[in-house]
Amino acid sequence: MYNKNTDFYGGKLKMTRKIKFMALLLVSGSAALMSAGQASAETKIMPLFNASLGFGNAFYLENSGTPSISYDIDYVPAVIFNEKLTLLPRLNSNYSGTMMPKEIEEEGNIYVQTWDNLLYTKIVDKLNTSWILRGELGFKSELARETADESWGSGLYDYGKTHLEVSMEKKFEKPISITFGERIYSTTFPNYRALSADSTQYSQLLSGDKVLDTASGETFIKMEWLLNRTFLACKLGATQSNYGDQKVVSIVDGHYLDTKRKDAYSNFTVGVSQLIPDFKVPLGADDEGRRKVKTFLGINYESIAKDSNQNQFDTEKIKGIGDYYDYRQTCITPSVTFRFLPANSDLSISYDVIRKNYSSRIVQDVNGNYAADEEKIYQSSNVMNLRFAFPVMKKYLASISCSFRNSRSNMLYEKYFQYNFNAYSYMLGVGYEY
Amino acid sequence: MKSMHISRRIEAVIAAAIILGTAAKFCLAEEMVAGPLASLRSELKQEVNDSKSREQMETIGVQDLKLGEYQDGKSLTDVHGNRVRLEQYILVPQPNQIEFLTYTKRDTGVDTLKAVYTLNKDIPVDLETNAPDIRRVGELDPNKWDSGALSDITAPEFYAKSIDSRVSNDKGDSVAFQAENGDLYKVPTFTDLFNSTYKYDVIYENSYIKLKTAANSDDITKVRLAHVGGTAGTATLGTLEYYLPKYQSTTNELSKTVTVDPSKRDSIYNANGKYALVDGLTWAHTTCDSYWDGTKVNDINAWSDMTLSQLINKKLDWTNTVNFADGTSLSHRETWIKDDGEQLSLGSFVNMLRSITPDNWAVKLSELNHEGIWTATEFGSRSIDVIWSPSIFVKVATSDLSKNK
Repeated sequence: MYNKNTDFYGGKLKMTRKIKFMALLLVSGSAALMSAGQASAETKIMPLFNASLGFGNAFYLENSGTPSISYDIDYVPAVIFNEKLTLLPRLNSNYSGTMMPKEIEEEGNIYVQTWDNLLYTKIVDKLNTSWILRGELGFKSELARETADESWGSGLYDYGKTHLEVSMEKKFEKPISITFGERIYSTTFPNYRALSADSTQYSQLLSGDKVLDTASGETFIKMEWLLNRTFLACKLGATQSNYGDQKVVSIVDGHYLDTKRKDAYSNFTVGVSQLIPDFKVPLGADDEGRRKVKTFLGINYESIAKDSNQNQFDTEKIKGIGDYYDYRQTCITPSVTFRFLPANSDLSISYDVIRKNYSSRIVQDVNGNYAADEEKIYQSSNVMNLRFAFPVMKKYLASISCSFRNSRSNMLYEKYFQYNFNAYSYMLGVGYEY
Repeated sequence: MKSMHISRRIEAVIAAAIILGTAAKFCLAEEMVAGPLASLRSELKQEVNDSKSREQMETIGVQDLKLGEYQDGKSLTDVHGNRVRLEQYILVPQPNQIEFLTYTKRDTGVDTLKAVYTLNKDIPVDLETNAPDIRRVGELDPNKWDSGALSDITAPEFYAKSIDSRVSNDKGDSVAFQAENGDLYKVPTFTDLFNSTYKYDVIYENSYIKLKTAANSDDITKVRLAHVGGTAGTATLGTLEYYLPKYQSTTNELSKTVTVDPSKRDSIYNANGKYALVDGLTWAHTTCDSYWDGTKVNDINAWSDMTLSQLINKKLDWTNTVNFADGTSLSHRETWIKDDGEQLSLGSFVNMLRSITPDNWAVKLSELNHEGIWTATEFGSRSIDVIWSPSIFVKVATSDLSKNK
């Protein structure tokens, strides 16, 4: 159920004011930093560069896709003014192409491509030995092609996102740190409008126009604790998303109310990692004990809760469902990484156990009939990831990775959406890091 | 045009994309340990990685939103790999009216199906919200009405006194199916061969098929059916008069009078030689042609030339064309499509039937995706192409009024 207590902003107007205030704060801080930088002879630039190219394929049920490529380029010319002040401008470009098999009449494949470009600036100011102030302002554009008739820039789900974040980190004498902060962002879908918005008769009556656009704010706190070879991290975040133009639908007769949709989203994550003592691998007489294996063990737990005031009215079955988008999800991820020395190659294995429970959605049979006992939908997924990475020359890393995903649900109505399936993928990659 | 829904695969597509793009997750344990011990360069990388992981969380949030769209069936992909968007609404324009509204959007434009049902009485009001509770008007679908021995049947609480439905494109063309002044009659079902089952059905005083074009914003009445005689509430059904365009004229004339026979609404061949309008009978200068997956099937003899193999491979794809005496024609193609995109063949249809019970076959059919395509002489090369799924309009808005109700 939607909780008014999490409605931090109460609407787009207040959100806009908050963004302006934080932007002013960040710009002021940046100006101060630049002044400090100009005045200092210590200023230096440390470029960070990371690029990777991948080639892989995906399989869905018994069907094979067509091998496709992906790349990621990240460039950060870090400006280090002095020991305390650092500016991190970042440019990132990421392309992912996933060709999925057949089922369309002429092309034989559906090629899902996304191309992200991101530009942001992050400021890190170590105020003293105990406090670090961080600020971040960025813009991201994602272009998506999911169907044959979508060209770059015309994708229905293209979106742009602007974000602003300010946080403070407190370091304690013990290797413990606590960070708290605020992140606000707006997401806009320039090509997505409600179809009814073009109808003069219904434009005011129905759902709204730019129904997917949101203004969001997250308040978060996280803690990190390093103790010898054990590292503990946990984070708690609460996000409020306001849909400025999406009206709530009535569960009684399907008409649109004046109330706008609001989603509250909270997540809690806790992870523990352990570096266990090295063990030697006695291979060959000339080994001289140089061959060792470092082992990193980890386990991560994540809990997500989403609460929305939006309902759904099923026009096929004449049935209204309240709080339709509410769900709870947990994910437990044990992982292990073996680092083989002196080769410096890594073998990593992780396994996600994911359970998603919808709070209100009712199970439907294969014909779409709702369960008489109003049993709620769940979806369970298991994902296994394997990756082997090894250096091929200085600063170059090659990798082979594969994943297996199994998803099961009590929801049997799969006319629009597949809830029960198996999927596999592999990827070969090479990366360069400086 | 065939059309299909493969968006159900999107979950897997997105899953694969995420799997392929998140190699960083493999190094979870290593990074968590190594991060705090890092050198300046590593420390800066750690700052960047922190930002990356937050960015990933927000990307997942957008994926979550997209999944909601796909799960609701609002965004689909057709058989050609093109984007099709569907929006379906239910409105209550008046206390005794229900309106169904669907939009089908392709790259070529938006086509609309709109149907307004005016009921015999007001929709009950929900006591808590004081809003009309259309969930309580379930009997509107005649398939759900009671049937049994004539003396046992009970009249449905709600029925449509009038219907105003229209399919249209965004170029100004539309086809309307309208009916007015409907009353309940006790009619035998098409299984009346055993003379034992009956049901209530609505017969309208006047029904129309009308066209409108971009060039002519006034409706052109192509067909009028007038109900004459009969006694509402009884099994005395009266007759139907067909008014069709007159030969070489723009006015309509009485072309045929037939006895009301509900068996014809199911398009079943009747040994007495009574056919629905679309069943291939030639009246004066008006002719009707029916095609089943490309084969002309105007009369019973059409089937005798087909082998069993040809029959079971036939797609559920019908085109009915009425050639009017004024030289114009109106064509309606209806095809049924499985959720994985193929047009249903008779063979696959039979296989589907084997998995269900006799009681739910109509429901099962209504769950298929329907695509209706209308063409007319007046439209030129343009057409109206609508995908819809609510069974309630399938029955009333498209089929029944084009047949002898």
